[in-house]
Parts: sequence; C-alpha cells; structure tokens
Amino acid sequence: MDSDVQFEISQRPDFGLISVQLEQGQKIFAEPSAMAAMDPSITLKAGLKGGIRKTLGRALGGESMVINTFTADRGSGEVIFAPGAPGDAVHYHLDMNTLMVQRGAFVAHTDGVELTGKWQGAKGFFSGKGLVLLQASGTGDLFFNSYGAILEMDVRGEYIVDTGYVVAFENTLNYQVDVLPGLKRGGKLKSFFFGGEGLVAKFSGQGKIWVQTRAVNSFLTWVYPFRPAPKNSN
Amino acid sequence: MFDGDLLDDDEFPGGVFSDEIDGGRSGAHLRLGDRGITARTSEGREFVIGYSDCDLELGGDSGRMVFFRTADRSLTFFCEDRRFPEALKRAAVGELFEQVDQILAAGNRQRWVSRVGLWVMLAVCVLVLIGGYYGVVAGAKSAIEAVPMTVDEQIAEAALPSVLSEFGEEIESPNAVDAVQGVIDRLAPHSAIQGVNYQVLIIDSDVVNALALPGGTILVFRGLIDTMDSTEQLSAVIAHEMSHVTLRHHLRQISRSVGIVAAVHIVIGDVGGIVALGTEVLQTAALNNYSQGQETEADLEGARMMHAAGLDPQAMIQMLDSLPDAHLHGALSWLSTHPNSDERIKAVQQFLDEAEPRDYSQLDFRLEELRRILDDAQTEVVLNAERNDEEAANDQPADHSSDEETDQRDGIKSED
Repeated sequence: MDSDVQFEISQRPDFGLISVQLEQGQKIFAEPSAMAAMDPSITLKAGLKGGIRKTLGRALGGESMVINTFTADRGSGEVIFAPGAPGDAVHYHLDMNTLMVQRGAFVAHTDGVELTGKWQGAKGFFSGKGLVLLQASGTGDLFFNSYGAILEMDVRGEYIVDTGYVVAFENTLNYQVDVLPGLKRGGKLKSFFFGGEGLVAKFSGQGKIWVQTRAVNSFLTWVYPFRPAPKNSN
Repeated sequence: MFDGDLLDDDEFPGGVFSDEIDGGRSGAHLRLGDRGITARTSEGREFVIGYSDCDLELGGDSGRMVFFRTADRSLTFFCEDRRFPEALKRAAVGELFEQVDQILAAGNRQRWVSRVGLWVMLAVCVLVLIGGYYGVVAGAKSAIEAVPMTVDEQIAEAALPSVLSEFGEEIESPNAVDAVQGVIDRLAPHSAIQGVNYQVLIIDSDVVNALALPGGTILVFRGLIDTMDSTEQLSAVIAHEMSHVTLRHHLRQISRSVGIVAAVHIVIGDVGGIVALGTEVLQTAALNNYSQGQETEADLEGARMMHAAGLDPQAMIQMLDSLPDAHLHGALSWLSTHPNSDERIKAVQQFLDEAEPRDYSQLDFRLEELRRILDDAQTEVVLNAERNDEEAANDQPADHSSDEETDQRDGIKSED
C-alpha cells in the first residue's frame, strides 16, 4: 500500500512501535504522550487542531483535545511513537475515503487527514463502547493501535464481531448492534440494557474490518480474582 | 472536505472496489457521463459502469452511501456525496429514476426509525430519572411524618453540645425555666402533634434570639427576654419555635440540605443514617436556617396555637413588627435568620381576619418578674458556687435542691 511518509512498525505484534521518517518540511500529527523518541531536527508543537467542532468530536471519541504536531523543520529525521495499550499498531492509507476507529485507538496521522468524532446514536448507546466513534477521512496516512494483536478482515456480505474486539472499519460497511444469535430472550434483554455478554456488531456491505485478538474487558475479568485484596485484620 | 481536490460540478469524490486493483479498492473521482459512470482512481486508472447494466444500493456506516454495481458484482463504485443521487437521476435520464427514488425513500425510512427510536429511548431514560428523583423526594416528605420523634431527639442530643458552645452557657434557673415551660404547657395541648417532650434552656447571651432543636428542646436567649414588650410577645416567639418542632422542619431541612441521600435514608427507615446526617447538618450551621415557606408556616401554626390556647395572636404581629425597630446592643439574630417580616405579618393578619373571634386571657406572669428571676439566678450561681466550694471542702454529697428555690417557684407558676 502506498503512503505519504516512510515508516516501519517493529516489535509486532505484542508491543508494536511506529517509526516514521520525515523529510525536511514534512509533518505528522500524533496524540499527546505517544512520542517515545525523536531526532533533534524535529520540533514539536502542541495545539488544538481543526476547529472547535472537530476538537470536541475527538474529545468525545475518547481522544485528547490537543494534538501534537511534529515538523522536520531542521532537516529530515525520525520520530518513534509508542501507543498506550500493549498490542499491535496498524498503518492505513486513506485515499479520499473514511475510516471509523474505536475510541482511543488513534496514534498518529499525516497531513491531509481529518480526525473527528462521529455520533453513533442508538447503535453507540447499545454497543456499550461509547456514543461517538473516531472518524478519519481525507487523503493521507493513519496509524492506529489495538489491544493484543490484530487481524485484518476483508468483508463481503455479512460478518459478526463482538463489540469489544472491533478496532476499526471502513465506512463502506454498515453495522447494527445486535445480541448473539441464539441467546434466550431474557439474556437478550440483559445484554441490551446492562451491556452484558454477547453484544455484537453485525457488519454488512463491502470493506475491511480490523479485529483485535484480545478485549480489554475480558482481560480485566480474567485478572480480577488475582488482585491483591486487603485482608481484614479484625 | 478534501483539501486541494477541486472537482468539477459533475465530478464526485468516491471510490472503487475491483479485484483488478492492488488491494482491491481505491479512492476515485466519479464522473457522470451520458451512458454510464466513469471512475478515475488516484493512480489514473479508469473504470466504467453503464446505467443499463447496474444495481443500486444504499449502505455504508452513515446509511447514505450509494453503491453502484455491475450485475456480476465484480466492479463497485461508491459515493457519499449528498448531491450524487440527484445528479445520477438527471444524468441517467429516466433509466435509474425509480431505482434512485426507491433506495432513497428506504434509506430515509430507516434513518427516521432509528432516530425516533433513539429519542424514545432517551426520553424514557430521562423520565425514569426524573420520576425516580421526585418519587424519592415525595416519599421522603410523607415518610418524615412516620419517622419517630425519638430520631429528632437523638439528633438534638448529639448536636446540643456544639450548639451551646456556639451560643453561650445555659442559665440554670428552675424558676425561669418553669415560667417559660408554663407558656409551653399552655400551648402544647393545641399543637399539631402530641407527646412532644419539650425542654427549655435559657441561654446567657445578649443576642435577641430563640431557637428550637429537633425533638422539642427550645433555647430562649436572655437578650430576647430583655427585649420583648410583653409576655404574650415572648409566647409568640415560643409558639413559633414549637411549630418548627411539631411541623418537623428540621428533618425537612436536613433532607433538603443533604438532599437525595437523606431522602433515601428516610424512605428506607435507616434511623442511624438520619441521625448521623442530621447531626452533621445541624453542626454545619444549618440550624435555624429554615426556608421562607417554613417560617411563614411556623408563624401561622404558632398563631393558630395561640388562638386555640386563648392567647391573643395579635402578639405575633406586634412581635414581628417591633423587632426591626428595637434599638439594641445585641445583634437582631432572630430577625436575620427569620427575614421578610412584612410578608409574614401579612400572612398572620390574614389568618386573624379569618379566625373565629374569641376572648383571650393573659398569662399570669409578667416579663419583669422573669427578668428579675434571671438576675437573681445569676447571683445564685455565684452563691451556689461558693456553697459548692464549702461542701466540697466538708466532703459532703452535693444536693442543690434548696428550699429557697421551691419558694421562689411558687410565685410565678403560670395558669393553664
């Protein structure tokens, strides 16, 4: 896949690290605290990007309102970005199209990409994953991260993914939030109103989906019994 | 939306799905021609789909994206531009007219249904929240009446030490207390609830004030006794304070200050929780800080009690009227915590106008006597202190119920 910047994603899939080579004058925009290392030829500027609506949209999509701009204005150089969650990182080249990204999964994008939030309405209400998804559109490179490794699926027709595992999808796909087929009626109600097990996103159409190999909530449930609990000395 | 991409009027931003493209897809500019749509990818390749050889579909994340496919589905164009469907209808000259209208209508219906669904859901959530809130508040209101008076007493008991340390020491004069108690005894049979255990404390302070603790403890400040013009005016203040107790204004105030938490405690009958919260609220100066409505309520209830007990409620109006003009060295605390006397006078006057006329009798002790007793009590404190010292020195058991006190008490008993 072509790209506007030279990049390499190393240490995959457990702790994916994104290294980007910037030519003199090139820019890349990243979430605050993502920068792990960089050449001294690169300068950093923090700021709100894209006006109030886009900034608020990003904030509702679980990202910081502030976006750091890295510019190679003193000669070419390298920036290394480390996502917050342990897991893989993905590069996607936007070609006049739009990608929907899960809350908080954004790492960095190049010039020409607009990042904002998109209201999900009833779907967001039921999915338990927030009312707003991040929406990246335009032409340029986008980097996002997952929790765990990542699978890229090319969907034609229908496909079902648990809402906890969806990282991103192309907006040529439509999705509906549904309960797992076969669940009893009581279980369905419980899932819908209390965000329990078995909530899935049912995708239809044609496009790509990125699915992560672990879900944060499932991990937390697994680790919960092992937490150090204070013993009652009385 | 796409910076630097200047498109002609009949060119739309979109994309192509095709196995012939590396990666299976590409962004493209769609141009509507006479016989079909041409897609030019960003790499410069061109694809064409004829109007007569295609399927139309609406989809995508927004539900507004138009998909334009060959019958064998090997080639798909897509476009989300809002102008695209209308332009397609014009360009395809009849061939796709109905198909476009159909898919647009279906899309609109679906969006409408999901939008209405969302609003209904939000409305239900809001109604449940509001209903729950008012349910608990209304429940608390009626539940307050069911809370036993002992809860009020427990709150008062817990709060009393800090109240005393804030306002001043108690004057230990059984005679004076009996005099005030006489007023209470006369009013109590006519109060809203019976069986309240009233207790009078006279506070050694120049402040012109009186206040009631929940459960029936009534604090009368020496400054108030020095300022009132008549025994009836003093009894008006006492009737007002008794009404705060019998109308359970403290609990209402506590449930207002601590809000929903206290309301829930009251509704579920968690007495320990109410006492803890109540003590805290009383100690954080919410004491005596009633709402305007509660003050008027206490005035009216006080006036009603006086009327029923045969005491002239006109004294309530005189008292409310005279306080602002009183020239005193002490601050007019009672008024500062009981504001807007004009409105309150009006309310009491209205009650009087409507009340059935009857004869009123006077209390049979006069304020001058009470003042003298208090002065004596101050002296007595000094004497008692001296006597205590002597007794302690003689190692005798301390018994203060002396004969003199009983003698003095006889003279000022008020008539019931």
